[in-house]
Amino acid sequence: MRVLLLPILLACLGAGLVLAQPAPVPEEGADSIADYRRMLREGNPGELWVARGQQLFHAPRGPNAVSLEACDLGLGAGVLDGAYAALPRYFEDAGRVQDLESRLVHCMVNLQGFDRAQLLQDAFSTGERESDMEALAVYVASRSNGMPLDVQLEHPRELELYRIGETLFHRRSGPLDMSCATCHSRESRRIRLQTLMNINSPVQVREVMGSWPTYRVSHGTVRTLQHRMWDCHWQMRLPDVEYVSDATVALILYLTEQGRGGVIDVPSIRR
Amino acid sequence: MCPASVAERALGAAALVLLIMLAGFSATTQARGLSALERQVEAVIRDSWGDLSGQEARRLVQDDTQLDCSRARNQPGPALSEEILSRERARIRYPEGGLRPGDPVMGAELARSGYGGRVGARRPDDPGRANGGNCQACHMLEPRDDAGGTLGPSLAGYGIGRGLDPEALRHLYERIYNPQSQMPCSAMPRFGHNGFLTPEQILDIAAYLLHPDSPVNRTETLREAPADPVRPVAPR
Repeated sequence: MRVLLLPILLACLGAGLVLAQPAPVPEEGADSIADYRRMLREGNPGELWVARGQQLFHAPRGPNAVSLEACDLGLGAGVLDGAYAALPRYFEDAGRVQDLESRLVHCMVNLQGFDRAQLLQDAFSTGERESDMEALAVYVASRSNGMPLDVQLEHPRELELYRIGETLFHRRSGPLDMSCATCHSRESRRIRLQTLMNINSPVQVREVMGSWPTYRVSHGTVRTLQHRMWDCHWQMRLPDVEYVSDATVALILYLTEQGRGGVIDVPSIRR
Repeated sequence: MCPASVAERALGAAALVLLIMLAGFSATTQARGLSALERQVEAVIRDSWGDLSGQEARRLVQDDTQLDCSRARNQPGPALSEEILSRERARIRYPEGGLRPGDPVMGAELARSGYGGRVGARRPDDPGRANGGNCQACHMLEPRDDAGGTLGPSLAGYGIGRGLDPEALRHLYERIYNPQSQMPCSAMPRFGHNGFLTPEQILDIAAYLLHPDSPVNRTETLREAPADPVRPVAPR
């Protein structure tokens, strides 16, 4: 009896210990990823997208054969340095709050004469087609490198959209009952092996928001914040959120304000 | 002149309040008494998803519990907790053949598979293929699981001390079918209630977690598991 009891007791104890273990903090993994990023920084393939974006931005393009140099990104026509750091913001000429990508779409339609629906459809690179928008976005963002994220939040519509973004972040829906907060409101959690940003940790939000657009190794291209918004909704099993829609701009505004002060350093590199 | 206009405004406000109350009472549970901000959010959602099929559009509409938990930021007070528990308990449906353990091998596959349920024009899943439960996205499943997530607790050893006992099976079936029938505003999806998994799939996953021979419950690997750090066993 005693002989039998001991292994059973040990097994139960073992099970108890395993069950009671705290969720492992992926410090080791995070460190090696940080090393990986450091190593790749100098050879980040995303730099190729920055260079391509620079060409695209300054070349005459579209039916009107003009460059984007007359595009006002918030600091005046043609001013690129520091413009991204204060986006999203309200634009009088558009009558709405726009993030980097919605402002670029606005300029490409109104200055260059591109077709809006086509721009929206081609915004993300696929296996067959390379996106111009990803290159343009990372180029313009890179012209704010070294500057802190600093959205204005002065216009009433900016404040309104900020609150809408915050509410959306916590809004559960869909067949998985998920909201952004389901994954992004607790410390040191992972989905499979992917570490998740915690919205309640200003340090993490600053780091994350300052490092998009990013070169995604698994995608083989630069991805933008708009892509991140689409991707999260897709993974939540929600229908495709429209590119540069108010919902995405509201979430990006909310997240950027939470990341206020984060230093812009793009393109970063991610899994 | 001035007092009259104040009175007029007061009257107008009273009428408005009455209107809002009426709207609140007559609307469905989903729309009950939305705040001004929540109405703005719903307008932004309608505007941001464009034309959708009815089936896709429904995914964006919150049910009562989704709305309540969003508002409470998933920290419901005692009264709301009771309300959610009782209505979610009432929403559980059981398999036609009764509660019998399913196929643990199939369950292992379902617990790992993250396939299924994605919609939209950009990258939809094939609706003809079965959804996976994707348990591993949030839970470590086995003592030697090196790919499991940590949003939920580790399930290593889950069946030890439980086995295929009918009460344990019922408890686990209900937990997967509708976690909010046990934990209001749980982060875990209501897999059965939302129709993401079938009752039979849930029984397969339950068998995988409970079966004494399942890799989840392999005691020899459990004993080898590191004993540190030692913490009190949480009440379960």
